[in-house]
Amino acid sequence: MSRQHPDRDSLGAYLEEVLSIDATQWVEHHLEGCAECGDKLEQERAFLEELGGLHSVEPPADFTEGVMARVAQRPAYQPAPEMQWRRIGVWIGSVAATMVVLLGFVGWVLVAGAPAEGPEVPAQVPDGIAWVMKRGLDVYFWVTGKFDVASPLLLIAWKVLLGIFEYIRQSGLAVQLALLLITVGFNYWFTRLVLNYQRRQ
Amino acid sequence: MDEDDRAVVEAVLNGQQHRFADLVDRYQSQIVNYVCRMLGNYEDAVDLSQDVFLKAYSGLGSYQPQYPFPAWLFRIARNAAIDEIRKRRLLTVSLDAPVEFENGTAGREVESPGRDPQDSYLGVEFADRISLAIDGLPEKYREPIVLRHAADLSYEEIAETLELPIGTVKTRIFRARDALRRSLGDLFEEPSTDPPTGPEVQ
Repeated sequence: MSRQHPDRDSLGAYLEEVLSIDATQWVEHHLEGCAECGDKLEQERAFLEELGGLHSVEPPADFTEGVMARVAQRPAYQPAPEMQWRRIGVWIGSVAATMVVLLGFVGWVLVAGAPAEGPEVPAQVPDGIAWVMKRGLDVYFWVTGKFDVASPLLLIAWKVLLGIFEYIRQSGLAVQLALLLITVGFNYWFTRLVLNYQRRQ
Repeated sequence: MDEDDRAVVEAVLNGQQHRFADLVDRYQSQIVNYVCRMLGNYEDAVDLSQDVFLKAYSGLGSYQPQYPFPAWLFRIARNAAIDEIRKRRLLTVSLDAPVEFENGTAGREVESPGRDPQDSYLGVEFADRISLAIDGLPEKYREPIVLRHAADLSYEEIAETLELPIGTVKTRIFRARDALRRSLGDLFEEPSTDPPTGPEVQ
């Protein structure tokens, strides 16, 4: 037990859990061996409980209805036009990103069995998808050519993505649907996050 | 403020007017208790609290989400309560002021409505004694302690509401409690005469 006694304010702050960790430990350590401060602590607890009784009235049951009836007489807020366009833009981008992932998966299902060494586009892939994949590969090689250092990382990322697609392809319908829902859910969450961030700016 | 408040505010600002009811439900008890303690009358407190929420709705566009919503709301409540108290003071006629007649002025004679103040003090419930003691505190100590114990705000929220450093808020609340303990001395001992040796609060 420490020789100094905590004062009333410190005991009150201890009960309200607003002391620092060190101070809390000091008070607890002191209380273990000091009956006098233990009594003071109980008095302080009773005192704070009495003060808690100041929160003693309850609003009438129809309080919210009363407020909302008056609120309803006022015009509802309209989102600012630029914010609206920004929101639409974010949602379009978000849906597009989801579609790219889904199309990528569909494309991979169609080209299942692609060589592990590197991405190629087999001849049996439908024209439209082959075109999209070729453009994708153009971008891939342009990026890897531009940034030599990143090339191995991009290749690893590409292979990981293909591995995931392959796993999904070989999974049952239930897993595929679940993953589809997760993708859409993640997309929704991420979009809300971006919009909230924009609003705070 | 929690993230949920921000989401509700955003929804209201995006045209979902009915979502404002979530905020009313969430804070009505704290606001009514706070205003009731400030005005000292339940009916008036309920009316003024409804006005507070209406003002909050009207001013929602100016709310900045980086600040806690309760602090913003309580600032509106505080201003409304202060305005109401000022209005009442202006309407109050002093009993000492002379009454003017055609042929001069005369003082008022008012019969005492009840018991001796000392008898009243001893007769009231303990909770009322706390209320009386709080009413007797200087304004700068009364407000923080009412926000802490009647409105259940955290120290951080009180600091935001009163636009004071948190250390100042804590000091004022602790001093207010000391004064209350002295007022209610028969039940709660006087503060220790030991020199303050306590650790610093966070």
